[in-house]
Amino acid sequence: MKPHLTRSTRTRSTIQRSTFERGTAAIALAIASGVVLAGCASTSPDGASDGAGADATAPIVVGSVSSITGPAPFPEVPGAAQAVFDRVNAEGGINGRQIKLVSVDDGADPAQAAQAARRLVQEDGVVAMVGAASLVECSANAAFYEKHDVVSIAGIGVEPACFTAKNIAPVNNGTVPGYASLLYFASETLGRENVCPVILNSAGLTDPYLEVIKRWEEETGSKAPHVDTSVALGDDPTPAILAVRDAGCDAVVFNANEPAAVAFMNTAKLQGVLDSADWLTLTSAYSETAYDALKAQGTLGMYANSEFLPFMSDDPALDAWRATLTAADVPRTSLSIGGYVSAEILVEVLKSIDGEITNESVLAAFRALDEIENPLIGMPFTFGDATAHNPNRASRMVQATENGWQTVGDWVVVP
Amino acid sequence: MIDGVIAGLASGTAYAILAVCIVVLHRLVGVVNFAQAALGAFGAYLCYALAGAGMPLAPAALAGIAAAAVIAGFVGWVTARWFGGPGTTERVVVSVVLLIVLLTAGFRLFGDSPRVMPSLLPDVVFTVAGVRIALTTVVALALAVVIAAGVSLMLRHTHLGIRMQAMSERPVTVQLLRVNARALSIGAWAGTGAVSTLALLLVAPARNQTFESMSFLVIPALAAALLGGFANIWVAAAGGLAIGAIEGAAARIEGLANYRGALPFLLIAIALIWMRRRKVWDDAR
Repeated sequence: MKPHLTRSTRTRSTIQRSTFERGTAAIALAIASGVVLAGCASTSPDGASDGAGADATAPIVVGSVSSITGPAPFPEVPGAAQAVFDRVNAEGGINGRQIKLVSVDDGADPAQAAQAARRLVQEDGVVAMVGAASLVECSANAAFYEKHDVVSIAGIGVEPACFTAKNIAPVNNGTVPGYASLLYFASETLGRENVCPVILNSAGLTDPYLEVIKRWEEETGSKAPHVDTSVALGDDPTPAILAVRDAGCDAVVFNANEPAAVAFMNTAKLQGVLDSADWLTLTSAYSETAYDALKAQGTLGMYANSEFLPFMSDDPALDAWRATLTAADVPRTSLSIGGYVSAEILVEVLKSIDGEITNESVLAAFRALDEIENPLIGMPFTFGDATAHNPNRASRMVQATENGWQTVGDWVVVP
Repeated sequence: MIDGVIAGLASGTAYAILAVCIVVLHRLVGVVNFAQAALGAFGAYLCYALAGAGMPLAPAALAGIAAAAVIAGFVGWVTARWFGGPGTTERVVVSVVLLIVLLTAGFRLFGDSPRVMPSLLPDVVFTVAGVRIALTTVVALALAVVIAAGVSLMLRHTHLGIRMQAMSERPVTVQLLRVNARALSIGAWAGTGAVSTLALLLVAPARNQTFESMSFLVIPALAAALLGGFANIWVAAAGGLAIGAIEGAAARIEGLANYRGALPFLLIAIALIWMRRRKVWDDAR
């Protein structure tokens, strides 16, 4: 027994030692290669784009971090940006150089979003971010983009953080300016005197709404007879409906998402106040599924804001968008216009750059940019030196009618 | 404030029926079913999906109710087959797993875009204290009372009911007496699954909720069931209605409106402390 034991012990210690030695060697190798890599980095701080700049035919690499899977996926937004680049590439690219979009899914996970941005900027050497639509990306990456001089022209800014970052400029309105546009439309275009804002509460988002309501009252001289904050998003909206009924409101502006808008209208009908007021809600209700549900429950007449040129209208300005997305087999939704417009803006800026195209030169070009007109958005895109960007504060209103969603009036610009 | 109370009863009926189902299932098979509302939501959403695909409403509703009953019955079989022991922990975990599976499957199948939710009953509306109430709400309220009464009578006065209760208290002894525990478990699960679906089919058209928010109606229902100590069917039903009423009334009171979601739970905590004050002393001695 004894010799056997000794042998086995020795064998194990040999194995342990060899594992240890291998581990040490690996660490040494890692440190050595790290030193070598660091050396490379110090001689050429922006390796990938530098190399690309030297080669006049190498593709221009741009990136996108979007929620392509997860609870609220937006695959068509980076998809629409890709469709624009396909078209531009087919037409000859940017001075002969092709545009390559590296689109990464963050799965609505901030850690994945942060990792994706680091990989795109530090390994793929992207010169700009474009066409993003993510539930988490802005708050996860705003500081990183600022530190690394990378500009992000987001397709759809979902979080409030998308509109408060120095290097991020979404091309959509966002919910709070969208809500404000509904208030202005109700009082100024429809001429309603008793406009009642209803805020369906969701964590931390009530105060920005209250601020725009205050600003709207100051600017237009309107006075809301009742501001309702009694119901949370997803709850039974009956108490809010009863309150606006008792306050004698002739227009009700509420911040519902798609299913909540349908439920809200159903309750308004049940309480018999459908015809005594106009009902206006946010852009997510502007969809075919919401229309079908609104029609089936007999609650047509509701207004919604469209943050872009209404995608269901037959405006000829939509022809190019429709053709580009059809060619690339991308679903034509309202959100996809965000990805499309952001890519078109980036292409225009890239074309304007004379020298080398790097992340710094792209950022500088955006800072120096005067404005870019695009027929799909209601006001010119600007960037400048601002520390926060919300360049698109114009909405077009649509109404659910017997003949589907119809565009009403002109662009409503929130001051 | 009265109009708030009346408006809240619409939600309250759903809480009440679900609470009754939870209490019944607990009394019969000793499980707190966290997936009670999710089962009903699954059946209801299946009905709306089938109706959306062109099936007439009545067979679609029956298919939804049957599907929920089959899924619930299967879970009843699983719990009786492998988790039929006297401890309740495993069975509670099974119900939590079921909730997670149903939430995931429901989200995959039905998404969160709004659906056309046709009403099982004609679009008739009554006015009570200045609030308009749909016929479906009144029927749901009646259903809550009928189910509570029916189940109480059955448990107290029928041979089957007494056997079922015995099974929950002493499963092993009951099986020694050659009572088919597995069949009882499957039946209890399937029955409550079907009733939950029916309740949500009645309440859904007035609310048009997403699958997820429908599944979480179980939280106020669990609170109501807790008020009845997971044993008293009438207290659970009344608790469900009371939670709805308090939520509705609080929404109409300035200053309370922002806390209306939490208010019923605060009151339940106080009620429980008061109701159990003797029990704690007795246990301590």
